[in-house]
Amino acid sequence: MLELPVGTAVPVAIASELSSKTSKTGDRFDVIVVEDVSMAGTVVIPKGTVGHGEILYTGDKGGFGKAGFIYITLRDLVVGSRTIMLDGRFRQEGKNRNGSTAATYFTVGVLAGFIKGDSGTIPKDLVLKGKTGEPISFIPAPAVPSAPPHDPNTTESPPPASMPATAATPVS
Amino acid sequence: MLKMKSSYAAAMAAISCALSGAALAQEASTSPAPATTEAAAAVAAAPACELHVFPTIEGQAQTTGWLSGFGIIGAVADASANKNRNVGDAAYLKEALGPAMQVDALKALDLAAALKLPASQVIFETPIADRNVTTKAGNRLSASTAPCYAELIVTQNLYTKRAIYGRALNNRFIVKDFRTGKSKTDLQKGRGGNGLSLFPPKTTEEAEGAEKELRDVFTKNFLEFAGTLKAK
Repeated sequence: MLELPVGTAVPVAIASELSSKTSKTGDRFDVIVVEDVSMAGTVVIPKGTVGHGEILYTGDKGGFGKAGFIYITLRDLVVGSRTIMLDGRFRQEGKNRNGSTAATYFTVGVLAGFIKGDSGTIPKDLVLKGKTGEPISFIPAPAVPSAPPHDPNTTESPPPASMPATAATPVS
Repeated sequence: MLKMKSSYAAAMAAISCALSGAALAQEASTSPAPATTEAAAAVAAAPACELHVFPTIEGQAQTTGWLSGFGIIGAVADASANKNRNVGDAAYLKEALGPAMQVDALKALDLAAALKLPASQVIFETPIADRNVTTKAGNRLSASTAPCYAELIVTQNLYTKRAIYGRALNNRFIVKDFRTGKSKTDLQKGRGGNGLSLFPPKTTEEAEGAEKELRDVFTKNFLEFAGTLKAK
């Protein structure tokens, strides 16, 4: 039995847009693994695995050019029948409008209060660098037997140039 | 409430995972090896002293701007203007510099030497949430009865941003040395504080660098505190 260590990189994509305008603290969102995570030729976390994250906090944009911001954290991944911890925290701040606000304030005073910054937005499909939050034990898949030498007299199609890594059986 | 419970449970699971790793490492270093004379000698030479380390689950943030320089009204207005940012930064700090990262950072150091203690087995404990216990109790916080025993307690993670001085991470620590044989001892309190330039990150791309900085500054703060202690 082998073990994928804590802190192994797991690139995940955000399944739907997150914004400080629409999301609320405590909301959960989906993430999708975008690359196979392999060890010793065995895929431990396959591409397409679904996981979850949580909105830690949001503050929306405000007057006087104040930008919105959103804090998120990754929570877990569902690998087969097992839920494993996923680690990673991120923050996105919108663009502030401090320059415009200052200029407006010096020309027309408090009307600068109507100038708002941008919301903090994390777009759909943005890839985030997650990490495994716990070791994952798995049984390595048996090695794929090598194909017999190709006989040029047969009409069989040749094997693909690269064989995909075999899938693992996670141990709960 | 349910959400709070679930995130608390997740945090505790992460902590127990990190701590079990530490405990395993500890066990591996102290468990008897195959019956060779060298291994037996190594076991016999294992330190008899114990250093128990308690990380904290706290995280606080305080951002103050120019308004705070205008008396009480200015300070109130400033606190109100930065309220959302403080809550968000505190939540982020709690997650980023949680017990798992504290343990990870401290494991990389020779804690006993830094604290001017004799060579010790370092045992990472589960954090204690009650501040009255961690900051006031003079007795042992673990069940160990080892005669050569000390505790290191992390009691504060505080992120500050000030108008003139910029961003910084401040940590408070307590050392309790029970080598005198008494059941209660003095609390040697102290702090460390150093500047931050990347934390909190403005974009998702900066998150990795910001967390590395946070870990490094936490280590620096600990060493700053440890440097103020005197050997007994």
